[in-house]
Amino acid sequence: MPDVSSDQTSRATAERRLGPLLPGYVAPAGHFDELLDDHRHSRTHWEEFAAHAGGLGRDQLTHAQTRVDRQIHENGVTYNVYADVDGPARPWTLDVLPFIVPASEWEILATGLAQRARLLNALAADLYGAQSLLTNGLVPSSLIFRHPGFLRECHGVRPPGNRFVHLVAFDVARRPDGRWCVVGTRAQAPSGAGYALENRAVISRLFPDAFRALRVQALAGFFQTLQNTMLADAPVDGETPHLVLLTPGPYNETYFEHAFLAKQLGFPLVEGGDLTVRHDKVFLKTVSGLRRVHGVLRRMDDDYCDPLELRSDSTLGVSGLVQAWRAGSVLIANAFGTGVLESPALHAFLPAACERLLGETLITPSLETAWCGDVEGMAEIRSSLSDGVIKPACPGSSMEPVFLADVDAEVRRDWAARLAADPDSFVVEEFLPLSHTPVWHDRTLASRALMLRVFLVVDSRGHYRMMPGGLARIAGDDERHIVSGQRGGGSKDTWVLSEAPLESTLPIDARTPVRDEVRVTESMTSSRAAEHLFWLGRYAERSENCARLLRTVLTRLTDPDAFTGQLPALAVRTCREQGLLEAREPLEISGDRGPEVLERALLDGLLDKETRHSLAFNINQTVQAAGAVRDRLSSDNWRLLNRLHELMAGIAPTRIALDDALEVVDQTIVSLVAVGGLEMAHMTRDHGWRFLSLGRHLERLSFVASTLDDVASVGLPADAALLEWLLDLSDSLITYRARHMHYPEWAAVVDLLLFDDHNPRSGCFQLAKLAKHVQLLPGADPGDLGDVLDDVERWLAVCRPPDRTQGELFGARPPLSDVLVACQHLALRLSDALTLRYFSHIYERPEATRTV
Amino acid sequence: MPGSLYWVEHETRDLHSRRASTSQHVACLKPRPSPRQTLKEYDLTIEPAPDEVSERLDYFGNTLHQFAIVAPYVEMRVLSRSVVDVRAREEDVDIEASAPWEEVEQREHFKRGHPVHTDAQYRHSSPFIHFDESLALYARPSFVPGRPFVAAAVDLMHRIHQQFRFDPGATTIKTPVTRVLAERHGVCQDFAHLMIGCVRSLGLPARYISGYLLTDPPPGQPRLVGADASHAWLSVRCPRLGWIDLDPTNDVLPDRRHVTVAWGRDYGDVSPLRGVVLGGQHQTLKVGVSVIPMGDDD
Repeated sequence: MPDVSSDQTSRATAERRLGPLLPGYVAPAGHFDELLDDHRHSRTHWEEFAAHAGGLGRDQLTHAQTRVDRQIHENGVTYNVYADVDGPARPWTLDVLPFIVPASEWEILATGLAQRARLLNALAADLYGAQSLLTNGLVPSSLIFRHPGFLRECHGVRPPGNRFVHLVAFDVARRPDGRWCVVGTRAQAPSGAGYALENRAVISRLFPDAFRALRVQALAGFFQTLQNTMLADAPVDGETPHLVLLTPGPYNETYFEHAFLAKQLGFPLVEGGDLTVRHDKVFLKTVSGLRRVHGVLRRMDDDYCDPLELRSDSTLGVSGLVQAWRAGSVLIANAFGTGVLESPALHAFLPAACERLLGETLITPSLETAWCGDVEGMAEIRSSLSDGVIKPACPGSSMEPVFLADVDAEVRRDWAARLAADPDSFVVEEFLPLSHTPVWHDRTLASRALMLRVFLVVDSRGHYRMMPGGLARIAGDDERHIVSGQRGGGSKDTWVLSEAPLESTLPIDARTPVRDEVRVTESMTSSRAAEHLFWLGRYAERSENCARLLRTVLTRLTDPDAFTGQLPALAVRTCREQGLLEAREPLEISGDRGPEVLERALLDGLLDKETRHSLAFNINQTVQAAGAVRDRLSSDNWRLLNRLHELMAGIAPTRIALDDALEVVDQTIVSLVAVGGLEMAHMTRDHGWRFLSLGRHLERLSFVASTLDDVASVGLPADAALLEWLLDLSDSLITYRARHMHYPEWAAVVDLLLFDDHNPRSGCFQLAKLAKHVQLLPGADPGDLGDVLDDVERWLAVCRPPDRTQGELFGARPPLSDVLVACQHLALRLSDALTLRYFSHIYERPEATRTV
Repeated sequence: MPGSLYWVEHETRDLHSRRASTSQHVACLKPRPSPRQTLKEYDLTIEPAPDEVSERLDYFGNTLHQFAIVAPYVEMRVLSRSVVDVRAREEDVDIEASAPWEEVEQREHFKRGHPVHTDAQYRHSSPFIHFDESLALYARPSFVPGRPFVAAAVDLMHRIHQQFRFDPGATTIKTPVTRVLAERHGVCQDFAHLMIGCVRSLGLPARYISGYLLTDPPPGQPRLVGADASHAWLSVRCPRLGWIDLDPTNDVLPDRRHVTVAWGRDYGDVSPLRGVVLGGQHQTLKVGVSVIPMGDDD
């Protein structure tokens, strides 16, 4: 690597590249500046970045930032689409400029934090074992015993390899002199690593040359290591290992990341209700029966994990999970009870604990901290009661940190009294001015406070490895003190440079044999995932039906020749039946103003999710169902669904114009067709896909039968406009025209829409698919489903084009109305039978009881 | 040393309005041994028959039984039967011989590098006992400066017994101790929790004890309150005298008529039977306890 700093020419060039952006960029005094040194020269790694970034002009950066915003939006990197479905989904903002850390500096940090991770593991082993730190007065027993994260149920449990901490995150910040210190610890279910990976995917493509030239280290090896270690530690008893990721569910604020990690690691994403404990072993409820689980990567706080032994009011957990873990039949990462390691008060006692447990001096310091119950510690802390920060010693208190520099003398006196009365409940930390880093904001280079979350994972030899990157979090405009995702801050991709050329990113871990897991995943469709996929299929199909109905009616309303005869009355009837119009709302559509009245009613109801099954309602249901099985959908698929969500969100809520509505409807259909295409072209044919397809075919059968039924109700329909509309509605107009040169005739239309087994929209086609999929569903004893299948096959035989030699076309069949009624009825029965057979047991809610 | 032999039966019946499909339970029902108590015989019967029953010690040294029932059922019955030998104290507790309460409190302060007694865990608020200044205020008149810890605790016990009304319908197990204090009524669990909260609010250690009372009193003595169900009292720890039990419901220092089952920070650590039931709905619990003397063995 050329030494850029000594090369005056390239320095001048770099300064020229960054120079125009620098006026106005100022990091506040007393804070470390990540970009400029004391002489206002840009730091070496920034110069290098500028040299290879391909132009850092205002327009380029602004344009790039727009692309980042769009990409993040499209990827659906939102905190939670569920929390606020109708409002703007809160995106995770990402700054276009990376946060860059030179190799040598990173090396030091990584060594120090690996030691700290090892220390936390040893600390957990001691607290849940001999408790020598407590009995010897190295860690105050008051601190541990009153901490709700110290789980007495876990005492005495020795996990495999005595490994409590597989994964740990530290929030680190720079002191004004540039040295790093640890501000916070996430030791039970750390979040953020998935966001770091997502950020990397977006930013690296913006600066491909710089990314290569600066030799930025890759992140994927981190997840590979986690996977390898868990595979090595899981008690598999000679079986093929089966690991899962346990999430609280789609309502959790970091659910996106759970789904993302599950995909990255290849672990099924499961909720508490998907798991059950039998004979001290953990099982996943799949559509094929119970499947043993050997390891759980949990993204749930430990007190929620088991209503039997931990929080009895938790409905998210798995009853008996702690006992299964205690029995050694399942790996839990991180171990239960590791939440106590997150206490900020522990910072004050880590140096002594490190000496005692590891025989080493603590390398990377913590934020200067005193636990108020420690008289000596309080005397040592320099800033204590003048300009420190008071925090609760244990979680579960809603108290906000108190910045003593910001409060008046009276408040400070009150606090001094409170601390004297109840010292054990509080810690005092020094106030640390965070370093400042450049961000692109409003077409200028602004400076913002930065905190870095880094992640460490243990390998199967017991060494902690730090992810070469991390989640750099930046404070919002006016948020000086706290850098928190919940407070609308932003993030940055973190680039860790390397001195040597990059080698293969995959760690070679000779002790972990590669295991063949291909066959396992086939049967691992959880009942819950199957149900959501089933409803995803149904709602996606309903949305498409709904959009086609809107399109075929709205386009005809403006054409007086097309909207005549029996069509207006039938269109209204069908729209009512499909829920686009309110069932009882009177609608005067005869007369000249009829088309206008219907148009207004349809347009006004487009977004109404309360009183009707509008397009917006169905799209919303589709996206919700998809969100619950996000780990099973590709990013392309998700992007399309996201776009659908956007389309609905983009419609003006009042007085929608016809052309705007039609444009949205057209785009909706295109996106929905693409979603359907992805299902067919890209999804593995496992049981999950089968339930999705069942949902679609079932809905399609119901729709084609009910619309035919509507039209048949007028007697023998001969109205060409009406029949053409019906064909259009079923997306079969082109097929019909290709086959028949004349105007639509009722018998031919019925033949195409009901009996033609080559038409993918026909009733017959749906019956054939339903019969095939149901036969391939797993499990013996089909129960009611067997009877429904018999009926599906019976009606399929009725609908199939009969052998021409065996009699006349219509004579052999029951009346058309019987067929249509039977098809609609079958769709309902099949849905009920599937629910009863495969989904209903996940509705059993656990109820905790206690006797007095 | 005089001892009494007791036959103890504790039956729990759990009735559901609909069939429960599966359930898992943790029972804390086996009387634990102590210097004055020996468990002679023990049997735990569960119907319908559980899948398996595992037995282990918890963090506090109590015996737990964990079991799962996988067959659907409408009624579950758990019957805990034991023969327990309870011995009287060798001599009466000299409550004035305990250390001054401030001295006990001072000993519990953290000093770096100084060994700590593991009973320190009984000084803090716990899931069922969150105290505030009101409890300390209530305790103060008993804890006058320099008073021996146990003497102060006995005085506090007298006051609670006098000033609080035993009222089985007034509280549930979730009623906070601060409300029990404000409303001055409750049952044995409430009085134990309240008194523990008072003692802890002064920085002193106290623990919760679950157990039983002799059902019918010896001739000439009154029947104790709480004898037909499981009972609860507390224990305070003095460095000179060790753990001393106090029963604020009956205003006595437990001797030969109290059978100890388990102890912990509060009710939550030692609830007799907790479970998670799938399906079921609308459960009714019926609990019956009898403690019958089998004769004195002195």
